[in-house]
Amino acid sequence: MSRILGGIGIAHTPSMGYEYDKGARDGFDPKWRLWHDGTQPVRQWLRDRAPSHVVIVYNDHMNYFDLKTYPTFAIGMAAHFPQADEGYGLRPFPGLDGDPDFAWPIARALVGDGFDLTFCQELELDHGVYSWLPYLLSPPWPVKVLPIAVNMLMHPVPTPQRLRALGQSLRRALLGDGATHDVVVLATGGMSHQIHGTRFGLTNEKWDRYFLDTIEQGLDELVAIPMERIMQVAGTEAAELSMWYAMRAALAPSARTHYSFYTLPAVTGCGVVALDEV
Amino acid sequence: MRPRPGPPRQPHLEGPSRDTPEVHPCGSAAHIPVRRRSREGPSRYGCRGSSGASTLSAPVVTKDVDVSLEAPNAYVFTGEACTRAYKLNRFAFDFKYPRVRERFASEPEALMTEYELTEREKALVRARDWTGLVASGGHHFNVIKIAAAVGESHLHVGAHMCKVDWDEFKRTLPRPVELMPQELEDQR
Repeated sequence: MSRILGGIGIAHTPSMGYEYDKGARDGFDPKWRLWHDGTQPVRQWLRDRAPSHVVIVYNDHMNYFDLKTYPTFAIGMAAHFPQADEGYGLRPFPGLDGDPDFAWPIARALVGDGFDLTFCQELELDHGVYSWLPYLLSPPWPVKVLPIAVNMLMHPVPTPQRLRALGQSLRRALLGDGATHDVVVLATGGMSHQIHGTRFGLTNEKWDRYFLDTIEQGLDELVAIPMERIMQVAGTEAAELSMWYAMRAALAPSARTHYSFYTLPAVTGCGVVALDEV
Repeated sequence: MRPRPGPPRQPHLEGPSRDTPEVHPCGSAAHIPVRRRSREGPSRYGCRGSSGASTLSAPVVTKDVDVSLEAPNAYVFTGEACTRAYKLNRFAFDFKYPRVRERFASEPEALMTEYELTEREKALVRARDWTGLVASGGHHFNVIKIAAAVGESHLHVGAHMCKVDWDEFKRTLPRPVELMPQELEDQR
């Protein structure tokens, strides 16, 4: 069985990546300096835990998948995942390596557990991964990744209960995969934000901080909140937070928060939490 | 307005608040629709128009927000909208490819015809009517690709949706609320 070391929940937003590149080049904008500095304990946590593999539950933003065929759950089986060009050229980071020998037993177990995944032999990763990535890791990337892409942009999207179940299945798959990898499960989704309609720009720090505080012990409490309610109070795109449930459910109930941080640099709540499996 | 040739700028990646104050002088969101009106007159959170409600001491964070997710408050993209406006979305999605952007810059009408846009959709594109395109079923992630190709950011698209001037719009971001889900349940 592989060993689950812990989990990370983290926000993503295009500006997070743009500001990283700009900050690394010219110095960080003060608001993004806060986020940069606030993520450094997670960088250290990853260095200390030294996972060999990171499972990433994320969503694409019409940068790889188009609407022609849109998977609800898709899993990347490739040995390499390039960065997706979002229309402005690639950022100065290499692609991420996958590990088919790690991925296939997990995929097989997930299907056996009722998750009928779309298997991707090619998959390019957009800011859903690359915006936070350089804050936590530096190339050459010290881990191999297993991306699981979730439909978060065309409703109906998976229910909160289904995302919790995905995490539970992922846990069973990792603990029964017959391998000896050291794994961190990471989920990423923007916190409060809405980027269309007359509610454009809505943010809700109170909700975001409640969410960060509650994810450790109150997963069922969070899952019980209808997604529409979260969209109403924290913006329609805050639905992405439900992906964090998969991360939490992949850890033991006894997992404990090692560190969490929150700031609001622009129009999306930016939070991060790292949990230790105990 | 003629589309500009060449690669798009990256304005949609630029945070909205770098060169703008953190807080709108009115203290809150000028154009988030408010649900309730105070008895004394127009909402104290409204900053526009003749209400004259601008007070620098007004609270920044509000519970007074319209929580309806119906248009024009929000345009939640559904599978039904995708099916209805599939050709429009396919057209807009393909703006990720430089060749499509270049073609749009030189031959927009021919390109729109090749993608089988309806006459109404073509008119919306010509008018740079971002709100109309999203309301017609275009996913905002797709529509902002067209906007980017003509030098406008997702914040420009946001300003268009809120029907406010770009400079005013920038000043009002972000627009904090502090409502919690349970408070909505309690109101039901």
